[in-house]
Amino acid sequence: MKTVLTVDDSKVVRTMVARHLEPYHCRLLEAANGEEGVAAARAHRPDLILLDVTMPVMDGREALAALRRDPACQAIPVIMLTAESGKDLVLEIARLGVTGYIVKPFQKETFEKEVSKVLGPPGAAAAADAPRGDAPVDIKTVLVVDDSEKVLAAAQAALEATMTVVVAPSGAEALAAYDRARPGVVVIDLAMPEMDGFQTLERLRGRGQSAYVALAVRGEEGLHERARKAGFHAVVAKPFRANSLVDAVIDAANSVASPEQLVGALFGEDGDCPVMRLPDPRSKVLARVGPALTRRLRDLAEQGTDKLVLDLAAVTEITTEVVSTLARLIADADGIGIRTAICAPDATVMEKLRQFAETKDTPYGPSLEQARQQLG
Amino acid sequence: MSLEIMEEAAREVLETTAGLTVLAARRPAGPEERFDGLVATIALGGTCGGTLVLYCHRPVASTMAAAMLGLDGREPDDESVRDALGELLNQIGGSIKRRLGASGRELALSVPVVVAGAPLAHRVKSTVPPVCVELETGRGPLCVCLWAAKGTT
Repeated sequence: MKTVLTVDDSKVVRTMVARHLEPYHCRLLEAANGEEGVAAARAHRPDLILLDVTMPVMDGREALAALRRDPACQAIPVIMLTAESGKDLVLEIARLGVTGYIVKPFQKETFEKEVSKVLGPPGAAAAADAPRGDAPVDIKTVLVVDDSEKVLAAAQAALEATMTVVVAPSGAEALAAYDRARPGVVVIDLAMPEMDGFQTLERLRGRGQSAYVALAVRGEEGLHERARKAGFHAVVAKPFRANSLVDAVIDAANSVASPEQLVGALFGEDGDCPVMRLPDPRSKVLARVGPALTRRLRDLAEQGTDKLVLDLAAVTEITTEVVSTLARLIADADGIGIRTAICAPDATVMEKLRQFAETKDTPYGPSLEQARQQLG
Repeated sequence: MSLEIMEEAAREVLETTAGLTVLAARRPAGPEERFDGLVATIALGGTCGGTLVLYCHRPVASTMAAAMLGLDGREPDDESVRDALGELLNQIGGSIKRRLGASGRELALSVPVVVAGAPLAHRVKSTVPPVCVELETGRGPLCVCLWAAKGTT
């Protein structure tokens, strides 16, 4: 993926440029003046710099001269993107060395013609580099996008026990992070500068079949409603409780996962013994995985597995759905030669299961190890 | 500087960058009091030096900013509206400069400054009356005025 640095004192222009660069599927960097631009170029060595002329602190001419003096940056292609087009200025800039010159106001075609000199045609770049919108996403990975370091840290702490967490401090950086991680869920702060949560959602949507969770200020019901209408699966109010965020993210992940992915996420191992974690019945996962779960049990049997622990750690309430699911699982497993044991850390859960004929005789242990030992 | 150059420059920028259609233009003697929302200003140096000012109402500025940012009907924040207005005036100044350059006259542009508020009485101190063009866009009027510096043309 190529990297483009836009140096312009106007945020609006930087956003316009980002929109025009979307078909090129590149990583975007921004700087608000020449000094910041030169520093960003030295730090990141972009493939292209789009440089304004009239800026505070250090103007585009000075920045270009500084880049051309620096051995590390002198070969980076620079396209001037400016309302300035005086003859003397153009000659001075041409002497310093630029790849192109786009005069504002500009038409899309003019922009693409100049930028394509460096990045190649937009379609080709996207086809070669961009992940397809139908490429699979990883439902165990969540991308959190927020301009606040504190919020990113809090979200990471809340989610890392459950998911692989990737963070991005801005909408622009979220695009590249998304393409790298292919997250099943993206949590987006609605009130970010430059590219807000709604704009970020629009940009991400075409890149994959992920679910989106909004972070919004508590009490702004109008904003929450707008977020739901825009396509966010859920809205979590800030400041958030860890459990609220985790529940929303898991629910969102489940909503986009295929039955096979959901089943895959339910299975793990304890030692050499397969473990199936029964999901919280409120998540509605069980309703979606019936045939896929049966196939998974058959696969285990074909691989020579003869035991399975059913982990009820996530189950806090015994409903008829839980009992019927357990009964079906135990019967299905038994029918293909797999013995089962129940792990229920909460003793009251097991007490209730003992009241049902379908589950009262199933071996039980309060920990995974103890449940596994019941199977020999 | 001719009014035609100012009008052509403003039309080009508003239609290309801000997505507006200019329906009509008129040439008032000066900015009218009714423009009490936002004012963008840049200083011009050179043979046509002076102060170039763009006046408009908040809703028009908001519409232009939303179009530039691709917000699809959503409201831009105040900072974005001011930023967009400054950029539009910068482009109008650049467009004027390009047209003047064709006739051999040089112009230097400053960084734009945008102020907002109502009521806002904005006047440039000059001994020369301003040259103004008012454009009707369908979303509301905008007015571009140039106060030439003493001794410039």
